[in-house]
Amino acid sequence: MWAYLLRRLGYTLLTLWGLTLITFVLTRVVPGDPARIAAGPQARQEQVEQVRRMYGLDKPLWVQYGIYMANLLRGDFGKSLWSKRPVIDDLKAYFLPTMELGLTAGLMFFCLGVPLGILSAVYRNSPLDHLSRLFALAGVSLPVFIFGLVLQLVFYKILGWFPAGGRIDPFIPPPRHLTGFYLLDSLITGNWRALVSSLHHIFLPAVTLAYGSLAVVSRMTRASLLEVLGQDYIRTARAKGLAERVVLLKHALRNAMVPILTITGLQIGSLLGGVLLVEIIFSWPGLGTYAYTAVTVLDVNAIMAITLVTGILYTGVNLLVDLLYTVVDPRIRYR
Amino acid sequence: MREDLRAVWRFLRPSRNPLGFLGVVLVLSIALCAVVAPYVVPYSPYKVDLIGRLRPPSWARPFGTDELGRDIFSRVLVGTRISLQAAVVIIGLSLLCGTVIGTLGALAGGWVDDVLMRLTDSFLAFPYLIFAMLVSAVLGPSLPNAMLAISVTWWPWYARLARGQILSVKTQLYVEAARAVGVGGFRLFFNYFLRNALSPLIVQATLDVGYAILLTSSLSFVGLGAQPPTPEWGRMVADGRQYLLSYWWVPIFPGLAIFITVLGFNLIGDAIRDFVDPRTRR
Repeated sequence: MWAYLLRRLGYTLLTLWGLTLITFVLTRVVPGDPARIAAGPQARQEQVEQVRRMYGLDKPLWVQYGIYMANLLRGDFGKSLWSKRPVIDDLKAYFLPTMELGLTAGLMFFCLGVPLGILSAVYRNSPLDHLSRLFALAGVSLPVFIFGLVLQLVFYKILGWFPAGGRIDPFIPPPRHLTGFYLLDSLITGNWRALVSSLHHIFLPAVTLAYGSLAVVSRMTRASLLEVLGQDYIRTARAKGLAERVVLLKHALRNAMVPILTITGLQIGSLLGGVLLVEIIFSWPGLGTYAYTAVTVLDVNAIMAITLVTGILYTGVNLLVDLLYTVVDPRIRYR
Repeated sequence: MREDLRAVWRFLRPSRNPLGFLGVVLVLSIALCAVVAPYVVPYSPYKVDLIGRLRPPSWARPFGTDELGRDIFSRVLVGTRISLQAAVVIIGLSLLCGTVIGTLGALAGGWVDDVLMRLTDSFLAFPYLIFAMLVSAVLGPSLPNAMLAISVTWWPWYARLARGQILSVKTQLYVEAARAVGVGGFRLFFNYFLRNALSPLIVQATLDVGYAILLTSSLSFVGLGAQPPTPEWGRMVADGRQYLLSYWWVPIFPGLAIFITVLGFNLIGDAIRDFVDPRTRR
């Protein structure tokens, strides 16, 4: 068990180091003049020179890499060209709203995708199964930015059921800052007005974000469950006279869970990408809106920081998923 | 070969696999559009007509006109070629790069393989849209750079697949037999290793065309892909987004084009996956 954990942690550290190496090469080696890239396309020559001295870009590459790593470890990603503040301060401000949206969507796709997959597997080849297949294929084919626009058109413009964007009604004061998640904070402080308004605002963006992943997870659940349901031990469980519900949920689903967890971990990655687009559509004040503004002024420092942070987050999620395997499937521990 | 095609056709018959058949119909129509669009569109996709701007869909203008009075139907049709071309280039570049690196790792083994695979893992550890954003921001916003950026994020998938394939081919008896009769060097590599490893790679590449289109349009949507006035679908959605609530047709029709194209490829992909998997072949 410990050997497995240590080996897994070692790989994760190596991957993280690889991430920093790749972003270093991309932002410091690939461009003809990295100082110009870091200073921004609008910078004057003396500003470019200042950036060059500040980040040691006139020094040999290995020294530059040392400076780069030392800065990263201190959380110094440079200055944002657009907000004129250190990128790390911006990240702190925009990170939590993105996490709130991402986690809500994650919860949504997992809690709906797995049951939908189970239903598809149980009623295999029925109209319900075909419908769920079409629903799933549409989900992976529909770009989030288009789905978001359609939802906005239908539920805001035509039906008027949900707001078009934002995190909370501008006339309702946000809940007291405890976790930084509006939903949790308003729940903890019993601020029901803020809770209702936050739920109202997060619904459309979360549905937009969750749909694609929901489709993938439901298909994977179906496939994995169908495979397990054909096994001998399921026949044995049925022969013992166990209720179908017990066979399905206790015997089959648990054994089918490893691929479902794997795909969920992978989906977090596409969620992290998708959340940026969804935030742009729904004016959600998170990393996506920040990245969008950064992209329009080619603020490489900010984009690099977002790339690194999401890469680290994604690596962390995959590590967590790997550790979860050992809980779901104890056989993995001994390998 | 003819037998294989016949088997595929039997599998894709509309009565047996209606969704797969629908996918084939969609993709063939899209491919046809890409070929003939520039010659048959009713209006020039670039022609500005400020008096006729933001007109709703009608018989003369099936998709309406955009904020500059350009015919959206013509722009969407011409955009088919741009999107398909971009997807083919992206997949081709990634496939080439991934196959070379994966094959190198598998054949060299030892530390070369270790280093290459750890590098591949690191590339895979970035969420690909965000990583592609960084690469295209460094290279500068344009469609060719966006295509390059997406290829940079994509090759590791093929590298993994190619490595696995070569590793499994390496242990086959026919390779041992070829070695025993003195086949070596390039001939062994091309005729034995590559030939046998390539088909799953090509199947995977075909399945990925839809995703490549999706990713290209996403990059264009954030402003890092095609630049105006190129009639690229993602860009058209981005430019039309501000008109959504009053003039819905401006962003919705190019969006539908992306959706239908990607759906077509995914329907075929799903059917192929069922075909290849003996458990679902029935």
